[in-house]
Amino acid sequence: MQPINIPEHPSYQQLQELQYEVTKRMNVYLLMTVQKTHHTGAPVFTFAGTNAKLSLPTYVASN
Amino acid sequence: MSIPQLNNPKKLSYNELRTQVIELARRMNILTEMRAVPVDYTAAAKFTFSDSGATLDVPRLDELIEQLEEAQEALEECQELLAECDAEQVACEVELVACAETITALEGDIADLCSERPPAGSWSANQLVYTTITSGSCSGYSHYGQQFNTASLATNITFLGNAYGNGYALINTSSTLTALYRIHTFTGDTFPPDPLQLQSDGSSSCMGLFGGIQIKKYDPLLGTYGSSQPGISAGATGIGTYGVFVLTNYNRYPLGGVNPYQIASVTKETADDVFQYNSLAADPCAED
Repeated sequence: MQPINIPEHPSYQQLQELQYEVTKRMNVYLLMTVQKTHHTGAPVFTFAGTNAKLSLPTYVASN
Repeated sequence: MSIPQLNNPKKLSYNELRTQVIELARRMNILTEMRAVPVDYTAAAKFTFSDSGATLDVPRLDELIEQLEEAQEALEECQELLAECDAEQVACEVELVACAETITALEGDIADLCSERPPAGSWSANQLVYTTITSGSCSGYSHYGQQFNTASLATNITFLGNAYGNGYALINTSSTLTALYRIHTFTGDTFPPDPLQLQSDGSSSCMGLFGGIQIKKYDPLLGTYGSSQPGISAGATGIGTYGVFVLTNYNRYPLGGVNPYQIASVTKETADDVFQYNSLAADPCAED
């Protein structure tokens, strides 16, 4: 996910675009899901354009 | 260093709005780059949001799970061992009951055997003594053979002197049920008499000097046995401890190269003619 480009002297329109992008990403954050992974794996945070995901190692009994 | 709370005024000028939106975008960029970091399982999960970045500390489970699985395996092994121990305990208890029954049976056997022994003790069982097996005379010369037998003291033995001069000992032997051995007062080329030739009073018909046993009184001061004597005196005179020795012939020493050799000791404790037969062997019937 590309970071939001912040101009040094934004115009009003650019401010509107910034505000739009921040709001959009905030909304993605609000829908972040937590995913279980095998307990030997590492925790991973992924932020994509339309979804945010947190993979957390979780113990699942083998039998 | 954590990022401070962002002020959130309702009315903003253009410049203030610009600053606010830029800061929001900056913070959103930091959040977008958040990293999830595994930390030791003993640490707490933690979220850090600073100007340098956002991190989420997640306790790692792999080491904990490994220990948990090892503990689980150990628990299962313990449960198996416990089951084996339980089974073994049951088997041991069964065996213990069987052993107790065996011990009880053996104790009964010992009690039976002890009840049948001579009332006041026993001579050492199966001691070697010898006796004549043939005897007779030819042209006025006596001739005889001799052999060794095993013998034990009879329950009705007496060592008392009697009207015939010397005492007699009644002995169970392996060859004949009983044999009467005459007590001798000297050593030398002597033989025990052939039981078959004994007369009804216990004397030998033609070998009156022959005999097989010596009685010697024990001197507790000297710690030795005295001279052989003709039996044990009746009454208080006979009180004391006596060694019982077997005479052998032709320098044939059945035990220890000593002639005569001791096979028992006899104690007369009181004036009553009651003898305690002290076995030289350990007495299994003795009380603890």
